[in-house]
Amino acid sequence: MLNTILQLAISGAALGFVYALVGIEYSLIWNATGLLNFSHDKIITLGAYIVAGIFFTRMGLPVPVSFVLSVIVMVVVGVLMAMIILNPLRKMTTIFTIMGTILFGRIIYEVIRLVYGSRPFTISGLMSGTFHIGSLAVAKTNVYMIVIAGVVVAALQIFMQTTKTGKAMRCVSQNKKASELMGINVKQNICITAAISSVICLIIGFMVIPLYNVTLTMASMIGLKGFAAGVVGGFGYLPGCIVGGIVVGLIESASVLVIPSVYKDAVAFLVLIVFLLIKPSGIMGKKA
Amino acid sequence: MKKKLLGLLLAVSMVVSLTACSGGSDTASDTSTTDTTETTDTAESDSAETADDAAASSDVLKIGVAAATTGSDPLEGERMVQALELAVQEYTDNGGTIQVELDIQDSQGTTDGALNAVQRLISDGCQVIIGPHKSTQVLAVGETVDAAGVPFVSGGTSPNLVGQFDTLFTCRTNDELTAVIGAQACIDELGAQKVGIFYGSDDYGSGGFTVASQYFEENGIEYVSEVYNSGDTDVSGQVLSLMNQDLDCILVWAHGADMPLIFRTMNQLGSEVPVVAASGIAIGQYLDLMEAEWVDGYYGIGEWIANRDSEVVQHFGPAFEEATGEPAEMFSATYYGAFLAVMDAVEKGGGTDSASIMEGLKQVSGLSVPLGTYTCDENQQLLHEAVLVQMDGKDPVEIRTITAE
Repeated sequence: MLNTILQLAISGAALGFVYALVGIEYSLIWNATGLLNFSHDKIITLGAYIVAGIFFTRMGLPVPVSFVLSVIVMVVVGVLMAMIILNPLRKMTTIFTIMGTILFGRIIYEVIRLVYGSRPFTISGLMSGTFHIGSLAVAKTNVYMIVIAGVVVAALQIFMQTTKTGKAMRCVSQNKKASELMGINVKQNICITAAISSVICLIIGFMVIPLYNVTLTMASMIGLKGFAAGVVGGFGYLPGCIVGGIVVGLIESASVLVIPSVYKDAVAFLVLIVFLLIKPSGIMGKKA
Repeated sequence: MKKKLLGLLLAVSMVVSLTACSGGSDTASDTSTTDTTETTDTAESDSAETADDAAASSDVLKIGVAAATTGSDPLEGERMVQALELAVQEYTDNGGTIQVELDIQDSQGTTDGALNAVQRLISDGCQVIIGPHKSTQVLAVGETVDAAGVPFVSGGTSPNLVGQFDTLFTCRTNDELTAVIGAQACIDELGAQKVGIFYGSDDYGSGGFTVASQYFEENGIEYVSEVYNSGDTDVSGQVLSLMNQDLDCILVWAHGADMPLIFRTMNQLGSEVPVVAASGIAIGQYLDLMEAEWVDGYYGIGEWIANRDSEVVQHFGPAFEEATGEPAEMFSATYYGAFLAVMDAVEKGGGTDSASIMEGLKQVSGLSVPLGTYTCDENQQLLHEAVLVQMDGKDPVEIRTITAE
């Protein structure tokens, strides 16, 4: 029984970190622009197709090289997204912003489908294998996910706290008008934020390739659960996304001990509803 | 002015997006219901002929195809379409006298999508419909097709389909046989006294579970079960539960698209319990997503056996690969055979109208197809055999063919 609990805790923590990253990447966009990016799961999918489909499979490059080149591509994608979608839409009414991001995601989906077709594929051997600690078998994928996500979160926090650009991003998220008055180029800042968000999407897409393979629908569920995690932790608050992600991941994983496993996917959304009813500001969110 | 231009750009984007290739069904917010229609004329004809005229003409056969070319498993639909197009092309090249048209609609891999697709095919005047593939979708569309009196041929295998619809003809072996073969293998090949059944919650999975569990009960074999939802992203809870039950083997009754996740999880959690799996284990496009060590030694139900000593098998495999650049597999073999059955039915029924095709399908007997031999029984099932295979790495090795008595 102890082994089972430990296994579930590790897999729950690993997925929890994935949800946390999802919550972070869309919170960055929200804080910078006031927009909810409904295409974020498609951008995660795009990142996975770029690294696995273009650079690794079609160009035959090693995984590390493929990843680095994909980062460059996703930075460009993020900047273009900011210039074409986010900056123009953020001053428009809500319905336009919602439709705009949904359609952007739809366009990405159809482009991927036309270019790559419908056949799922994977990177053979990526993060595969098992660590054996006594009688406990720990999937290497889970360990790598926790480590990678932890490094990303730490790096982002350092960036936001210590660099000039990071501080500017925090200023913009607090008050765009005041930021402009203080000489911060808000549009440029939004482009940088979108680029960082897109790179985080790439990292998420890369990490979940061993779990879900590279398919058109690979990021649908984690996109939704990441949103739930962000709300549970404190909407728009980056440390809250981390806490919310881990909480949702662990609760979801542990739920199989008490309820039939077939209902597991509903747990994240049940937790979301409970928090919306009881504490809508989230675990670490502050009341308005 | 800028806002007006942006608003116009958004409106154009919406229109272009809605008229683009068909949408998927991957998110709760996805409301796209666009479909793809592809008509293939395979002989010289008057292109101004209406659907009704085509349906009425005895020289024209309009075959509707409900294929899931988008959704959670789009390769299923893509292979179906490729096989049918190959079959139609070969029919024409071999001097076929009937003008065959394919009307292809995307069922999106969902029950709603399947229903929309079938309704469109019926309104287009198709005399016969091939698909949808999955049992859950067949159950959803059956009443509609029955009401229209159009015969439809599907690869669905759930026992719940047996005798359910007057116009349904199934072209793969029903799980009433294959699930028994799987359960038998647990006992005969692995000597199991306690079995875990891991199955999907849809009609296919639950149907296989019902048959297998009944077989175990009749033979005094203890069993436990765990269920998952198709499309689940994590099955570690279920696998851990099975691993903790001291099982002799696990019977996995899942769609092929779900097997990479299941077998990866078993491998990662260190499961050493032998497995007998449904037919998806032997399908190439899913094996490509797995490592050899995940499935080595597992038993499974095979349907398409590429090296089978049969003229149609030896023809179809290379022909499909030449036409598409992809190796033949279960979906393509199934629906190539479905086309052969339809054309045999047209000949036996003496016409291309729906009623004649229906009568003709009931008379199909001894027809050699890639999956075996079609003979229509009283339940309008065409195929009654399956193959037990054992995986040698990622290669399925045939052990024996079992035919229903």
